[in-house]
Amino acid sequence: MTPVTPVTPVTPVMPVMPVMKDTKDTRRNGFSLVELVLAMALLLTVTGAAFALLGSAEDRLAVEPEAADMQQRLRAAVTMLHHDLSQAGAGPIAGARPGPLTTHIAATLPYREDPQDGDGPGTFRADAVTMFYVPGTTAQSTLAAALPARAGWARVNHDPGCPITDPACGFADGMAVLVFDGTGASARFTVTDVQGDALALVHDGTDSGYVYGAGSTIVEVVARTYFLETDAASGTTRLMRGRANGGADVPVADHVVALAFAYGRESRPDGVPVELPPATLVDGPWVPDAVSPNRFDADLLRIRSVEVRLRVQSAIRALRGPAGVLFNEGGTSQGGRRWLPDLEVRFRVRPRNMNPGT
Amino acid sequence: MGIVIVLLVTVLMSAIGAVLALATAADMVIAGHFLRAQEARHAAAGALEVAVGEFRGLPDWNGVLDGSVRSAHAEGPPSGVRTVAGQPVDLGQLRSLLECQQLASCTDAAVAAVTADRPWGADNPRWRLFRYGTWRAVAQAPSAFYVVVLVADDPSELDGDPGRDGPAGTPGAGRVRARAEAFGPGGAHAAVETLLERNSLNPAEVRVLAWRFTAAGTPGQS
Repeated sequence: MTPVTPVTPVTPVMPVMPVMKDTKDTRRNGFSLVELVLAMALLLTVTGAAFALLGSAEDRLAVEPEAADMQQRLRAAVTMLHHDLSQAGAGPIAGARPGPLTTHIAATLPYREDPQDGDGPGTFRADAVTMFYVPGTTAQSTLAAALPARAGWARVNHDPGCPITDPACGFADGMAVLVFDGTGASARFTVTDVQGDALALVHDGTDSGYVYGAGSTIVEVVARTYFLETDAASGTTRLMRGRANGGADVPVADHVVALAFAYGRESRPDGVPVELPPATLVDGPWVPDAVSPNRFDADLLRIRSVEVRLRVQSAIRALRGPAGVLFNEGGTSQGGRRWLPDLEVRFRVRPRNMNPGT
Repeated sequence: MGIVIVLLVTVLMSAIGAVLALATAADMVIAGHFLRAQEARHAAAGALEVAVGEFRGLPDWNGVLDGSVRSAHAEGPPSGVRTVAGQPVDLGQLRSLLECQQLASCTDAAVAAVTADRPWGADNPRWRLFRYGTWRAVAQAPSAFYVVVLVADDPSELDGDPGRDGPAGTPGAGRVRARAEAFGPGGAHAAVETLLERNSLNPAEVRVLAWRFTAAGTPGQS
């Protein structure tokens, strides 16, 4: 008998994963504490740096456009002041009295000259200036008949230099004109009508009994005045340019917090101008006399240079720090990264017409 | 999550950077124009002063007025095109614009025509080139500007001859108009005009009777 071999039950062979494989799977399903800490630290560092840069960029975004605006306001103000100051005192090139205005009248006044809303002779304002010059037009002649210092008609001569076909020598309706006679007296008028060689004039100033004789010079004139004004609506100060002949004042630059003019006379041998103290410009002697409405201090004829100091501030209070050296008017900014200090410029103009022989 | 935050911040920063770059670039352009405009004015004024110094040394201004005498420092013939910072400056056109307000050469009739800007007829100024060249050569300093000084007779004269100074004692005698123009990069252009008077007793004494900025290409207009 064949012995029966007991059947060995077949044990299903289960695949046994090696220990090494088990370990690998465990790592794939998670991070160790060290890895997590490292990852978080890295993430925090990168995110922190990004936000720090973002904050800095935000600060620059808030400050830079305003900084550019301040620069532009300063450039506009400097350009206009320099343009007018450079030409101050330019006189007629035709007629009986060619040459700089300063040989006849004061072409630069240390105050706001305005018949309606200005300062009077004998005033010194460091934050205002008025200047006169004759533009390069043909409206330069002499009076053919006497002219009182009040509204009326004036007849002009057809002097050499006048347009050959124009009996009015280039004078036109609306033109601002200056009359002077060589004694230091002067008066400004506005032309309201022209008929032949006759001009209808309105007197821009206080009428007086003074009479400008035949032969007095009559020329077109540009009268410019610069001053600081506080805007009632916003309470801010701004640089204004006025036409001293009664025209409308126009703002030149907003948020101008300082404007100062200083006057110099002939320079020392080393080229440094000598300042004319304000007191000397208001104490006389007076030209043409002490009672004339258009009198001026004779020392004004000694002006050879004008120094200008101009300061603008940020229009945004949140970009201004506490009042002090950097800020004329304090603001609400707490940190230096959002500070936009005031900008200040100083320049000196030596008007060529006030230095004719050099 | 972290990568998303970083990406968002990067995008935001890029946008801010772009805005800042644009604003800064615009301000730099404006500042550059301002700077060149200022340099143009100073170059024109400086060139005129240098020319006035040369006038003092001339025994007679008639040679200047008829174009036969020029500055010893004039660069080349008084005509043709010069290139200034890549832009042409035509000396002939410059004269034509002043004498008859056109680009083409002026005829005698056009020069003597009575217009609003030139109302003196036969005494209308005929501008002559006196000194022209680089501002660098004058200022002895780096500059891309080109300066031109022109001279004309005083239109107050009634002699009908703009190529010759009037006889002593007549209106306008001993006086000439001088004009300087400066051309620079970016179209910068400025002009200054003056009226000079010579002392008949001391020819070396020259006075500036009037000095003004003028609109470029338009004599006399401030």
